[in-house]
Amino acid sequence: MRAKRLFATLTVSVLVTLGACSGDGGTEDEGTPTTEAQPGGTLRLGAVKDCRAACDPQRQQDQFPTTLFDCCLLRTLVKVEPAPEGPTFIGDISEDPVVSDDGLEFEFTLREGVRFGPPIDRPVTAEDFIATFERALSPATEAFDAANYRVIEGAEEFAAGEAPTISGLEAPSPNVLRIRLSEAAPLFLPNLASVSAAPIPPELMQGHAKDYGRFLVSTGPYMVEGIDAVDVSGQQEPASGYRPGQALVLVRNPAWDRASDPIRGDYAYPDSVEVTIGGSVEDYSLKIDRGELDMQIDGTPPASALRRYSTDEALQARVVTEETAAVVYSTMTVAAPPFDDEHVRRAVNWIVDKSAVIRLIGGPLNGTVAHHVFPNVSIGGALADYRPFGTANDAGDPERAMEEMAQSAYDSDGDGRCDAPECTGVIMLGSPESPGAEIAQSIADDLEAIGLEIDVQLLENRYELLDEPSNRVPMNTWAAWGTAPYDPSEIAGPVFHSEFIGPKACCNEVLLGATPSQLDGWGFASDSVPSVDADIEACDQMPLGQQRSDCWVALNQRITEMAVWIPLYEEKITRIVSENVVAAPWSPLYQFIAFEQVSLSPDG
Amino acid sequence: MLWFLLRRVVFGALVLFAVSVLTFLMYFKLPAGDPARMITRKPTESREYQLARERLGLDDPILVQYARFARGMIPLPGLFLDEDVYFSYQSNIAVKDELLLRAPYTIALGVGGVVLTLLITVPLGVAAGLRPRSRTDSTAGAFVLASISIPPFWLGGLLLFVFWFKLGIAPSSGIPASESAWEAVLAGRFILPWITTVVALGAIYVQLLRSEVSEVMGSDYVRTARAKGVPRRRIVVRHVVRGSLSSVVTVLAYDVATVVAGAVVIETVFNIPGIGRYAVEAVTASDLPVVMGTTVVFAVAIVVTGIVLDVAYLYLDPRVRYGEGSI
Amino acid sequence: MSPGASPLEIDGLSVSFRTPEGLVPAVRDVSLRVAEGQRVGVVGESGSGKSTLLLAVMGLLDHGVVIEGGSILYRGRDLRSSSAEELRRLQGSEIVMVFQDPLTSLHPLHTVGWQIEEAITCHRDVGKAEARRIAVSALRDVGLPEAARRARQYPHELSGGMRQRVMIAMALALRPSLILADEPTTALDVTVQAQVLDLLEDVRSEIGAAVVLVTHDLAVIAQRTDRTVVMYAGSIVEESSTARIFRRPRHPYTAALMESLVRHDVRPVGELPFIPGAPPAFPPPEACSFAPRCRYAEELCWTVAPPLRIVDSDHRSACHLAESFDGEGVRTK
Repeated sequence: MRAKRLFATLTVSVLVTLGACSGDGGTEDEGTPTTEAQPGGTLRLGAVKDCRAACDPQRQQDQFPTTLFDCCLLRTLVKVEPAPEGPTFIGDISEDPVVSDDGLEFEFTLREGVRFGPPIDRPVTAEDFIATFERALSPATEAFDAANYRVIEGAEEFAAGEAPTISGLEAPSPNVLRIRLSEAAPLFLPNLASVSAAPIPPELMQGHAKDYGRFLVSTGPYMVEGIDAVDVSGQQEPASGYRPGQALVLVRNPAWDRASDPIRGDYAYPDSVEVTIGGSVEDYSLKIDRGELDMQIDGTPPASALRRYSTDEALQARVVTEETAAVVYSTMTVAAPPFDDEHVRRAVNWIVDKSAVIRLIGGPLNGTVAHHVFPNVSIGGALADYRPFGTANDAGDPERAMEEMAQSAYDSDGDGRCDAPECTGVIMLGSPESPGAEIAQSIADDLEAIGLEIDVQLLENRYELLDEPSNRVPMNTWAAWGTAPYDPSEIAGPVFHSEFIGPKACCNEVLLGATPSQLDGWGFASDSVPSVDADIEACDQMPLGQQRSDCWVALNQRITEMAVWIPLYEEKITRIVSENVVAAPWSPLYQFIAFEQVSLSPDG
Repeated sequence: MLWFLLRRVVFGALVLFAVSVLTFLMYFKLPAGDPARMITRKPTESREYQLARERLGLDDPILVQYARFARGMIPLPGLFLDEDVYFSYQSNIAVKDELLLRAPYTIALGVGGVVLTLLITVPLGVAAGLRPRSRTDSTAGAFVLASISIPPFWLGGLLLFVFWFKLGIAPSSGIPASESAWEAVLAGRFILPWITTVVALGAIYVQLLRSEVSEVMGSDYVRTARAKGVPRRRIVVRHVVRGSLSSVVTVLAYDVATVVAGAVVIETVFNIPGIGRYAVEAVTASDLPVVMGTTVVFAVAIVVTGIVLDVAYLYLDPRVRYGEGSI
Repeated sequence: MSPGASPLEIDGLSVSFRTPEGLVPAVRDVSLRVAEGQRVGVVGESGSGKSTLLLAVMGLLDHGVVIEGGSILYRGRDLRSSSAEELRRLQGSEIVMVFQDPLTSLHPLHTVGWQIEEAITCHRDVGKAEARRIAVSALRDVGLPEAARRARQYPHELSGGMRQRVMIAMALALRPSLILADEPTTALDVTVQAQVLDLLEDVRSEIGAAVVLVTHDLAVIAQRTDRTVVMYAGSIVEESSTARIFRRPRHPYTAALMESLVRHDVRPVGELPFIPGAPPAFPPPEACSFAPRCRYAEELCWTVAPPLRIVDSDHRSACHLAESFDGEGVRTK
């Protein structure tokens, strides 16, 4: 099975020898950790933040509860697996999807044996998906990704209340779903892997537009404890297993059929999952040390714990760390002097000490140095060795920086230091929070070596200023943006396309693609800036595959070499697991640890 | 008596009104963030944002918005904290439901904490007052100093670290989903929080009793009691403590209201899902309906406490009963 | 304890206050005997030690006050060496005290009935109903109208005179044999004073108790005591039967006191007489403590402290010149 191969090739990065609990762990394989799967036990997790919107899967996508939805509660039509040649799709509820050549029509055949868990307890049908998509489009739901569904033919009319149904959705038979789009949307299919597209039983939609999350019906191997006691037809009390602000308990879902689930069918090891909600990361860290908690879901483990675990050989195996498709960066507004000169921007990229930044965020477990603008994960790791501004130890290279600066018009005497009046008092906005404040200062200090005097201003509401281009802010630091793990489209557009400039649209702070009249209107002296709009649009319209991936890779290189950003680091997900955890495999499908595959030691 | 109660209730309602208006205005005046933006996380001209604004009634005049909240303050079933207005912007869960879920934990913490405080501080304070400048008195003084100086946050963390993490004899923080408040009490999860409460609250009781008892012991009526040949123990209980009770009860009543309203710091350190944390987290998240709802509940608790206190005084101090027109 | 022995025999009692500056004497070497049913008046100005004397007898001295020497015998029993429990059994039942200010001396938060009942139940094994009966009856005995209703009232609901009656009722409910009264009428209106003193006398004579009545009011002494003790600066300066002292005082202080007595039947002429100066805090051991204020002081008075000695039949005085005082207290020589 494909999933099994996945599991085998993507090696478990966490293996712990059966330790104190069973006592004789050393007899079989001295020094070789066991990979024996261990069903049973209670997986105890900790969540720092409670669900928003009562855990409604269509209203929020926070790490908690989404990571639990993905693995354990909510199956979707398909799941996506990122790859350098373009993502591939694995059918979850559906068999492999059938897509038309023009990319406008999709047909999903639902697998046999996929059922809603208690209290509904019946097979999932295509009509259920139609109802779910209607709910996502319905304004009352305030779904966070309603935009995904608007490309379906007839969706706009439905959302506006002009049509009673969505014409592009058909269910010719109970287990066949046909979707027709009104325009080509390469990302439509992978977006169906989001839990917002997981089927919701219409029986429980009525009256729960705001709080369905407390009545969540599962299609996965587990269900919320107490959901079976919900009286569907009568007075509905929320499932007792979720106590807001306190805890969430999952137990096995009796309606889940292993044979129907290619992704999870071999697993579902823990008997139950108990999530404590609301503790601090320090609190959870202590509990993990004592073995009273197995892992925290969201938040970052405290720096002291990370240090202790990563430096102790015996404990290192209990640290799980993976890259995410999120990058943290500084921006340089291309229209604002002295950054309107590419040489200056390139010099900046040469001089910044990124290893210091890594230190400030707490070490390599919290982030890896970023060398280009699109996160590594989102381009399938294709540019792993691409370091246009790579320096020894990532500490910055003053010589090369000064060489670059000497070529700039702002360095009149060619000594490698910016000496024009525009080089002093350059405003850099940053966050007053730690470590953003320290990072801003570190970068400002680095830039002094090439003659740039930076005026660091740490403001809580810096985005109010940044979003208004007429403020002509030259630099912003410690900003973050993420994208889907299989495609950089969500980062390319919003931060580099001219459509996203300005307070109404947000996020293209560097002002790439601004027109001369816009620049004039904002009071910039510069009258033209580069644009990558055409490139972005070109890549965005390509269907998923090698061609599209190559397109993004090329664009990534182009923007990186324009040096409009200082890419600082790519965020990582790092977690410490307790000694009860025998194995905690990472799933590229969920982009997180696969909880249903976690095996626990028998008497932990 | 009826007249007395009526006057108190009317006054209480006025207090409630004033508190709610102030809270409401503060919310609007201080930079709070746009609730529609917070909920939808979409730009302002998107459809979702507009709809959220409508749903929350954010464009209505302030008076209308306040009126909606005011309606939910009327203590009649169906109106009080009605779900249409009083729901969390963050979680969409009705304030009423959350309060009912969380109340038992806060009550367990508060009541247990106050009872333990009294059990420790009253004997200590009385004993210290009876023996000025003795070792007991110094102990009481040290306790007062410690209680005032030690921050509960720090102490709670320290107790957890020592007794749970290092020694393993106390249960950890947090309350599992399956445990009701009563079960959590039986499981001993409140012991460290109660101890922290004693240190947080205890100073004033010890100090008050210490000085009152010491003063009363030197009073003329205690001298009379001794002259009557009343045994010392009876003097202490029936004369001295009885005389010091009213000031202790005053402090106690407001401490109970405060602790029941939520010992936020202690609830945070020990991860107890109580009302206090709920309220403070709502303030941080600019969750107006929750802030209003919890403020209403707190205000009601304090007003009711005040009324109960006034009635208690009638029994405690007969001089109040027949004071000039006070009743 | 011998029931036949005198109710009170004080011998050489000295009491001092502990202060940061050292021990301050309040009662110096006082000896006094009270016979069965006798009424003894102790008179002196503020600070003479008379209240301290009573408190010492009752065993009610504060922590900072110590008995330095002497003995106190109740019916032959040494109170100083009695245990706390033995003392407690006597207090309130056989030896009682009536205090000066009945408002502060009664517990504000208990009914007067409750307070009298308490005095009863602490000493007698009776049920609550019986105690209440005795209490109400005691209130009736002191002349309080509607005694049963009054018993359920609080001290602040009664007038000053009624409160003092309550104090007396409380003191006398168990028929004590020794009553120590510390200025029982000073805090009352003049009109009420006489009533209360009459009452005290009625009840006392009915049960035959001895009284030590402390006051600064000579008129009260004159009318209501059998013997008089004059105290000054902690010591007794004159002691005799009331009649004799008033007929012929043998100490300049006593004489001066009588001079300053305001007589209601004589029209005042000129200034009201008073004794200039104040008693000393630390009387020097080798001098008469009154010498600084005495108009007759001689050199001897400044160098030798006069002992309390018999100067006439049943008459003691502590003055070197005691014999030379005539009927008016004027020195003749």
